[in-house]
Amino acid sequence: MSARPAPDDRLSAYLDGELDAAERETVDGYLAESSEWRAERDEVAFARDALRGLPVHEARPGFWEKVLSPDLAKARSRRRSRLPRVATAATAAVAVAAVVIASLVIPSADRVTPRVPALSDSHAVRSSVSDEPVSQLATLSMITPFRK
Amino acid sequence: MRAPSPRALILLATVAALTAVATLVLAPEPAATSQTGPGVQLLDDARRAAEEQDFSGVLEVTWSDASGQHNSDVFVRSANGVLALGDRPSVIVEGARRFVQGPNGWLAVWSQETKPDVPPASDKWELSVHAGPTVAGRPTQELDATDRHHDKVRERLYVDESTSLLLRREQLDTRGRTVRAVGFTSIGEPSGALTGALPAQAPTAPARSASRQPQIRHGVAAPFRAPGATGDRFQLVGRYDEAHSTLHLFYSDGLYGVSVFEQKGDLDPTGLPAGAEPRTVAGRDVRQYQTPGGVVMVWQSDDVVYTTVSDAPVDQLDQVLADFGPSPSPNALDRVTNFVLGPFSW
Repeated sequence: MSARPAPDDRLSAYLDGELDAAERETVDGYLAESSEWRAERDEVAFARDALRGLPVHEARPGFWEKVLSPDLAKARSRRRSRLPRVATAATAAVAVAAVVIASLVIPSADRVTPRVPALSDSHAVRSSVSDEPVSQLATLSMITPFRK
Repeated sequence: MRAPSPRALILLATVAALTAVATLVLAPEPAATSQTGPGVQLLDDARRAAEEQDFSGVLEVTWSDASGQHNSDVFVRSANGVLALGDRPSVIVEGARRFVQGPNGWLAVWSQETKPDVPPASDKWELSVHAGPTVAGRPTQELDATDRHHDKVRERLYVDESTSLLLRREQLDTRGRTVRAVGFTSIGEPSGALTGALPAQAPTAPARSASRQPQIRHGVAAPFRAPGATGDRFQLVGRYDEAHSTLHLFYSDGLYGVSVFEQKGDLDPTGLPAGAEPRTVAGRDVRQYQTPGGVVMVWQSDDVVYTTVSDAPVDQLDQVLADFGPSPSPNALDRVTNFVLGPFSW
């Protein structure tokens, strides 16, 4: 009686129906006698079905050119992006963090409404010191819509 | 004799530099300038006469805004060196002191003795003096101030021949139309013979008052700006701290005064008086008011809100505004922001 080998590539060919009659009979024997062979068969069958269930997409234009011409693809890549992607991402992250910190730390500017009538009075008072006082101060004693 | 060591030279240079900086920073208000010529002399006499002469009268103020022409009368009385304006005096002048009636009593709004501190008006304006018309029944000398650039009379002043009191002044626009005027319609002795509505008692300075005086400011730090000259030869003659963290710069060309008020922050226009005329001056949005006292402009540049008040013609103010534009170089925060955001072109 010959020793039973460990599960091998014949399982994949077995599942694909690529073995001849003698090999298929041998594998059937192993599967009938060995739980190890049966477990391996089930795993290979699961992986094969999973791969075959994935959707199929067309490669983007130029993909195969790059694959087939690695040197050309590298040269193009260098021209298009001087910064490594990791460095770009890191810089962007720093910028975002800076903006967030700045918005939290730097106080927003105060809202200012000049008290225009009072400032006009201050001007008139200061002007009256250097200029003729009657004409400069006359408006301070007037009630006008502007000074209400 | 041994040559000074490098360390001694550095020390000497440092002391010299600090002395120069201290001289600039601690210097009092700009020194007085000599004033010459008949026009300048007439202006100077009119300034003094208002406080030295005894008189009483009615002053009429006329001004125009978008809604038309307006006028208002003001009673004026001066006796014993005290000048009062208003029928129930609301403004008192006694020497350098200025008092204004506030809601809760008199406010002392100025008390600093100030030397003649404005440049001669003749440096900028062509001043001509000749016999003028009769104003409020009194013969006058007329002083015309002509813009040398455009050969246009922009201000006419009528000075009492005998007392040197300024009886009337008119401001003209570039077409020669009067846009603002202040002048006596009647004037006489302080007894009030011509104006029976005047109070019989001579005005006196208030015995009690609360202080609301600005403080002289010796230095100006960013973001505020205080150029030594602005517009068409307006010279900086005073810097003051006013209420509400407001910097007050006062400029003069000898004939007109310009106040530039600076407040840090963003302009909130919701509380501004109604009646502003929107304008665009030097690329900035400006709210402009025509008031009895002159023109007021409010605008923002960088992080500063500016308010300009002046009795000067509006075209003169436009030139002042252009000098308070955006900062020529970015500040530290701007540089950091540009550094961080620059690569992303935000």
